[in-house]
Amino acid sequence: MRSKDLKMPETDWVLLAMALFEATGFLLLAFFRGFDIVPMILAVSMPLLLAAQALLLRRAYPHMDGYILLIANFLCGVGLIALYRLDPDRALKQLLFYGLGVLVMLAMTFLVARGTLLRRLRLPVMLLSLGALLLTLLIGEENGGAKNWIDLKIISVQPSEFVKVALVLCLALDLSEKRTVRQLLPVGLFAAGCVLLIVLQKDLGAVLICFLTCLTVYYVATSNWLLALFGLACAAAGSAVLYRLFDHVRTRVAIWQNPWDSPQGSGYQIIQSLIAIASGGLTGLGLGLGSPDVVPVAESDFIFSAICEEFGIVVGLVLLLLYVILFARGLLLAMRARSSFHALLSVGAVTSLALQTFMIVGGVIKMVPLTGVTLPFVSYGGSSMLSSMLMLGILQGVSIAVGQQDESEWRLARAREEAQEF
Amino acid sequence: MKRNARAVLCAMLALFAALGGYFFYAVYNNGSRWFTTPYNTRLRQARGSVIAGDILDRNGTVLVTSAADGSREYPTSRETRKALSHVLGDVQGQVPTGAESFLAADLLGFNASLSDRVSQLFAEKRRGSDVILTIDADLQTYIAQQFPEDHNGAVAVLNYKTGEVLALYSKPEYDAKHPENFAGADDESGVLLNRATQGRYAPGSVFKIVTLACALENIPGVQERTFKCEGVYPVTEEMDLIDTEGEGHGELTLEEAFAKSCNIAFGQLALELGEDKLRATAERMGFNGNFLFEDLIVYESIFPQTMKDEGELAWTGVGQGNLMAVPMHMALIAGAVGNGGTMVEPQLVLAVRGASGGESSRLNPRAALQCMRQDVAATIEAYMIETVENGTGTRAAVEGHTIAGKTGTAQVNSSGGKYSPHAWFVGYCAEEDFPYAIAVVVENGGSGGSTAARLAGKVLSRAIKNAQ
Repeated sequence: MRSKDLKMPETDWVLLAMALFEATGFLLLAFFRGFDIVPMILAVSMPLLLAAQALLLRRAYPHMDGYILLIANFLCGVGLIALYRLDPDRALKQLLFYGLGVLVMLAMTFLVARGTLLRRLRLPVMLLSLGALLLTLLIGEENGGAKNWIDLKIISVQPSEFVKVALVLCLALDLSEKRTVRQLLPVGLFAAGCVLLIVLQKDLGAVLICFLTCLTVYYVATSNWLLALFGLACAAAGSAVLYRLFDHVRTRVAIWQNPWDSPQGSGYQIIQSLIAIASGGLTGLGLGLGSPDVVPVAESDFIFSAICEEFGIVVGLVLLLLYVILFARGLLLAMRARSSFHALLSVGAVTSLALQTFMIVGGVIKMVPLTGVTLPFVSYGGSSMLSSMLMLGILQGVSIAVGQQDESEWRLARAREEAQEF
Repeated sequence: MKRNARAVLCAMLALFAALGGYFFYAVYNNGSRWFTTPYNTRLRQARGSVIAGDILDRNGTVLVTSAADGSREYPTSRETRKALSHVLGDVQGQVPTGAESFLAADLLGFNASLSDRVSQLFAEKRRGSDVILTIDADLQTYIAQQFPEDHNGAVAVLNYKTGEVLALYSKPEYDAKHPENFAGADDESGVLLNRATQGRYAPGSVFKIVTLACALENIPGVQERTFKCEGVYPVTEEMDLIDTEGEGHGELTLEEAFAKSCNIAFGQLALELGEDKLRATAERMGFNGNFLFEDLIVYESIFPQTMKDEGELAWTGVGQGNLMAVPMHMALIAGAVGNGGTMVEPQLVLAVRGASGGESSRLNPRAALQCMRQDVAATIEAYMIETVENGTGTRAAVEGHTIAGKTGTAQVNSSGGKYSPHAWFVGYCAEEDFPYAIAVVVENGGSGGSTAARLAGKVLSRAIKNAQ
């Protein structure tokens, strides 16, 4: 018997709606461009995978957050539908990473829930992150002005994606236990090193995400808003410096200010994105009936526009709402957590994912200058998928830990009550 | 820590609320413009796979239809087609403000309702929606016939209560059926330009409506004043204010000064009001504003941001200087006077008819600007009626109806040879049943009181007749 507040919210209806959405999407794709058996299989297997995760995992680990789990997996499903429509080969690759992602998510969940092993991994993770970033600088490949890829023959890796996870882990570990400047020096140096190396890669989207995540976690841990504000001021000053230093930053800002200056040149991407969104209108053109492939890199950076075109702005807004629910539940976990380690972990994971979502969605609708980051769970990209899934694992680990705390406390209270009755 | 996490939660919610809000706002405001840009390849593709819908006028006359092979056909007479060509535009998008481009989302079925889409699921070629314009093809053809030969210019007619645009004529004419004849037409001739919505002209004395509104709102008792006009009034050492009449109007009340279009009186008023007040009134009426209406784009009229001296201020008060006005905008201002000070949003689409026949109204009368106080509008109306009854605008009179108006004779500044001034008339029918406002510009047409006012009177009379 469990008390009411420990019971998980009812998610069956949400699960059903999401499963139906995925099944319909893949079914439509099966008859798009002639009959295709692969989406037919996916139409059955994806909803099953969704349901299996939601029902089996929740049964085995009742303290996992059902909403977070459902939403993240649903977003992956929507991403796969959009990808399959754009490029079936890439979708199948992404499917592989999605499967892999579920596994690393589970691994991370247990790491976080158990906790002790994580402490021992701290130093290797730090060294590995810095090493990977350095390696990227040396042998990396340039992509859209940023040098943030390593080609490992079979697959390409984007180390900055994983560094985000490492930062969240290390910051939470150190800031929850250590207080003095000297104690915090290693993690401070690590964070500064990461940000600096990513700046050198000219991957400014990742720089912003890492820096602001560090700042937020630091603020939540220490309540030192003065220093946090100072950090923000530094970020503003740093942006100004980067603006003058890097050509492609200036171009990005100029495009953001007025893409219509060169609709066929530098403004092409963003204008095509706006046109795609506008063409879809509120309810969308219908899956397969639009031309989202006109937008360059529709499968990763601009996937939100591609989805808006065919599914409609309403679905775009619903996706945003789902993200908000996911992030809000993550932060509610942080508020419920007894240990500051767990609280900081979920604040870090949510901040990183939320900033990334905001920057790319804001970018493709021309609200903020475009930074080439991916839409978590949805965009095409192995590194991005795995890193988003690792963040999800962090949140689930915290959820389990928090749930177990609550339950043991409740047991204790109950035992006391029973003892008093005697 | 719990409190800090809550702060992060609030910040996150605010950030995403802003994102969602901006998203919705941006698409709502600019969506149709984004969609109809020539860079939207979907439109080109769709023309191959979708049979575009018809374009009809308010009386059901089919202006453009699609042939079996999908090409566009024009069932009306050559005269009507040419008169309407700027409104219709062409499939190549040479006149990007035309209905073919601007309303492409409807014509090509991008906005089709769910039932329309389902009913066409298995059709070989989908069909777009028909668009019913607010335009009166007969009235527009009549305008083309009556427009002075050998002159270019523009006419805009609208219902100032609902915003329905009845006519939007621009000359030189363009031919939507043969856009290839105009390919690469140079900007000089401006044949691809819809002068009624995109032409910028010095307004001349029609701007005195704005100066008058500003004076009525800012100078108490100005109606009781008298002005002395001797034909010339020195403002600065090098600049005199000159009246077109030369000898001067003698002693005048404000109403007489308006009806006779006395430059001396209105120049003095502008000097007394000052640049800032005049600009404030002008901007309240939409000068320097961005008119991105849902159905059509009206270029912005310009009230200069800075003035070099008092001389320019005085001349601005009588509609010269560096002022620029768009005919449609002036028609909207005249309409606002008739509508008690409220400017309506002009509307070009009456209804849209889906492929399966369901018609949905798109007329959505709403205010665009609150231009002036109601009592000020009533006074201006009285002065404008006096102008048509006894002042410079007598030729605009329509027998049996009350017409309010203001003439304008705008000097054309040019370094080269001497040009005749542009002739303006703006006004409206001041009757509940026939709420029609009009703006006429005849380029180099001479005095506004003769050419422009005469044309306006004929057009208003036809509009009233068509409504009966």
